[in-house]
Amino acid sequence: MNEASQNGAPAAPGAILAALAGNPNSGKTTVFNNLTGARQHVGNYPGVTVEKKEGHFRHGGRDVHVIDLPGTYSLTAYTPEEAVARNVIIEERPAVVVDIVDASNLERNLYLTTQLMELEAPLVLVLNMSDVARQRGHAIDVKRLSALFNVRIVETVGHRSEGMDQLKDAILEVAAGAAAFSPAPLHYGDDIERELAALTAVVGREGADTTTCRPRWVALKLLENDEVVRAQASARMSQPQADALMAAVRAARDRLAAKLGDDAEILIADRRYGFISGACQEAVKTTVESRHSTSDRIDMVMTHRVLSIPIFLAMMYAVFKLTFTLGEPPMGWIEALFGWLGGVVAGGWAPGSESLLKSLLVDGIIGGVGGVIVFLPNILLLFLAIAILEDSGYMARAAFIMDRFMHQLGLHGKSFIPLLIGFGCTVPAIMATRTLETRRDRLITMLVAPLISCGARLPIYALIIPAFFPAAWHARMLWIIYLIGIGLAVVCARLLGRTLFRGESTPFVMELPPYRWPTLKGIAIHMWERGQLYLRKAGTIILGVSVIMWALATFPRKQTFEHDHEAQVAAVAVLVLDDAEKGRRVAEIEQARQAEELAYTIAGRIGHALEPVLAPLGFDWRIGTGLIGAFAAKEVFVAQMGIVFALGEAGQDSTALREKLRANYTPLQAFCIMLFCLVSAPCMATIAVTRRESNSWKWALFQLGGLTALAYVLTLIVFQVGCLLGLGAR
Amino acid sequence: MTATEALSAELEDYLESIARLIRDRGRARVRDIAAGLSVHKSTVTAALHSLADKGLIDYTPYSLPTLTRAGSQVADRVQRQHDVLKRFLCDVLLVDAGLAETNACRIEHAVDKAVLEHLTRFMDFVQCCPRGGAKWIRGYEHSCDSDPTRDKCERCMEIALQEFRAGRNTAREETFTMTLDKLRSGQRARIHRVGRADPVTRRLVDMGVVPGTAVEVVKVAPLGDPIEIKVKGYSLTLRKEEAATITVEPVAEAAP
Repeated sequence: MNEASQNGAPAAPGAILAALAGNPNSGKTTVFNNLTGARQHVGNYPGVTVEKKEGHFRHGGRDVHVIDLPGTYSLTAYTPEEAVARNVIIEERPAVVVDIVDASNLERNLYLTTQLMELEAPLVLVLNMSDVARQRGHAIDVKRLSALFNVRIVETVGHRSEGMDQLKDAILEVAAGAAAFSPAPLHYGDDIERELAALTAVVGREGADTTTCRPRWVALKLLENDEVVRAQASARMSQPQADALMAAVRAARDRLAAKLGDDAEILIADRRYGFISGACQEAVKTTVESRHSTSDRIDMVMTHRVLSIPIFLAMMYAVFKLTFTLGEPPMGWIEALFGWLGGVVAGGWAPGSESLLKSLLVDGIIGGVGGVIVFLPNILLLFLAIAILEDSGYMARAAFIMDRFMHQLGLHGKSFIPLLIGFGCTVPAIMATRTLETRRDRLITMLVAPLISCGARLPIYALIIPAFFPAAWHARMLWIIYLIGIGLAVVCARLLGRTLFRGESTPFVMELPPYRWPTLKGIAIHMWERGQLYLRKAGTIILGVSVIMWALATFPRKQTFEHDHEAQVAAVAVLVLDDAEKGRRVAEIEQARQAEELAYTIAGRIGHALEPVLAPLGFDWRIGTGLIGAFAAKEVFVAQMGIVFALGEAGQDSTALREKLRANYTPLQAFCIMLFCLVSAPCMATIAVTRRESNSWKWALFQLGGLTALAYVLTLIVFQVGCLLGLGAR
Repeated sequence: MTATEALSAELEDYLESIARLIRDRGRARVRDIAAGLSVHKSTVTAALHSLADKGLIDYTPYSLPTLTRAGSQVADRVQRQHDVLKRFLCDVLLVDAGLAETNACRIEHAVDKAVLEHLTRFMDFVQCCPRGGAKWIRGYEHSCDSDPTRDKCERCMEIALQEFRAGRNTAREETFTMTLDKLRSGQRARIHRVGRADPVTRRLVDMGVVPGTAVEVVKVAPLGDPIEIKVKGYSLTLRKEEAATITVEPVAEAAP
């Protein structure tokens, strides 16, 4: 994990290392935000999709470096989050582990505490949301609880920043003299303790690697059948030693199962909960018992048998509207700003001059940066909506309501939001997969999200459909295209679930946290984090690819043209015509020159070179060139087609371009273009964001290759079958 | 413990009832206690005062009684005695469940701790020993009808040995067939067993769904799956296929 801390903000020398642990929904993030403020750094743990958040603060003259561990309920190796949290504690040996506990849900939250105690980490227990606990009539005897767990306890109210100074004091105190509060491991009852003692002896005797953790902990994990610990423990052993250890583990597990009638891991969990339940009985007095909490009452409506679905749909409509409708004006401003900037920079050169630097600056860099920033309003607004949904507790209800439906599609209930956002734009859709907890669900959703037809593909359909299909079919064609996308997404999700991700179990088991008011600060930090991550990590890739795309469409520059365009322009100039007509003819010549130039560039040549490959799909080199442009952004296809047909940068409503298309292609070919654009290689921004969110190039390239291959095969079938059926005729 | 030693059978019943209500429903209302023990509400109030005087419960009029530490120890002991006796009557002697319940209620106040410990050990032995187990007990049921002959016994022992060598766990047999997914909304139950050692079970156990825990099915999602349950004071949702791996023992419906 050293490697990881090098990636992150490095801790100042002499700083105290503190790790924040706690259940999801325990208010851990709020406490982290309160402690560190804006001094945060977000990254990824190497090799997993788990986020690494770090920050620091100064208190009492000491620097404290804080790692916010992923929120977990336990410390098994079954989920990457839990494995990561455990590894940080074992390998980075924080001076203090701050365990944040929801005081209003004490029993379940203390379960993690018992496991932190087993790791014999120096603990500070934070009873967060102690105000809610009091409201619910739980009076917690802090002294008693502190004595029972032998830990330092601090009471806080995260969303009101109460108790933060006491917490900081406690961190320094425990870091200074951890011995005073070193929690002892639990006693598991005679039967388990006997096996544990025997196994601890075997672990020591057979020379298991216990440099980082104690033999008793290793023995306990082995008894719990923890695969990671098993692999680590036997790493330095000879085969017979490892076999002896595993035989001892199996025998111990069998004996316990025979005697106590359950698997050892269940028995151990049972004892932990038993200890907690006893401790709570002693230290917590419940004065009022309310049968229905406020949360339950809200849920009577929100997850009502009939009302819940319309409410859910209304919420989703609001999220979509907020993200895209409200995002549209700022996107327009950003585009206008960069257009203006490009104009200003271009103004530095004499009109008509062909400077390479100008082209690089205006088309490559300013265009590229604009192309990155233009997504920002959508991303910020989407994460505003997601932060509200998540922090309020509605997100879990949305999954609860939709899971049946989504599960049948091979997805998780929470996949609904990313896929819905995909109708607007795939980039924020992929970022929204962050709400999914398991690697499997996240990756599947991420991989199929580009199949949901995004807004940028609409100009392509808007150009082609009116050009080829009768007016009565316009709406229907559009529906067909969208439905094909949805259908393919479902098929691919199921296929991926049964092939690549087969056997990865995905327990749905999920907490429905009590409803809470989201805090402004929490939402602001969440939005800021996402926006910053997008710009820093995905933005740089998008910018780089933009420049490459610019180079592809610029080089090599044609020096000698087949037609002498300048001579033609000169010839027009001497003709006896009115100025308007002259202007039109000069424009035509200029457009022809552009077309010739594009054909000469690498993009044009790739288009030509691809012609034999694309011919079975019914595509010529012009479409090939357009598709290469579409990789930069889908809507670029329209402009690119305008250029190759020597019409200049045409828009989606250009009737001239439609006529050209109609003259050159059949409706079958037109349909194939739309199909290919729908399915094929998502735009580079999508690839960049997938790379960032999956934390690996492998998945990004798999998405690119897989979708392009799928598009090729589908279009091939449609075109060839269509031709056989005689649909290819003009 | 001097006060509790002298506790009358009647008061023990009250404590037991309060403990059960708190465990199953989260609180013990006077009217539920009265309904459970078939007595009048004023009788219950008197008993509560008496228990509070002995320091076994915290109780002030018009509030809900809660158990003190000493009280819950007594309640636990009585409950354990009751369970052991009932299990013995039901599982070993194959007495009808209703009869077992009422008899356990009567015996539990009279039996000594030492005797019960022996009985518990004997029961574990009968149920776990490869030569015994559920089948053997069922054999006892048949022996009521027919005369056991020597060659039948030999055959029976052979089968038992074969099964033991095959590693089949014949000793314990599921007595509960009700699973969590089959409960109606609003129904309460106690977890009896959680499924097999797979990640789903592991997650459930980590979330507090351990044997002995009280659960309540709150509702079923509008599309028919997943379900929402209350466990350890919070709401948890899981799919029905996951709930089907959990066997439960439904508890009595709330008093009207």
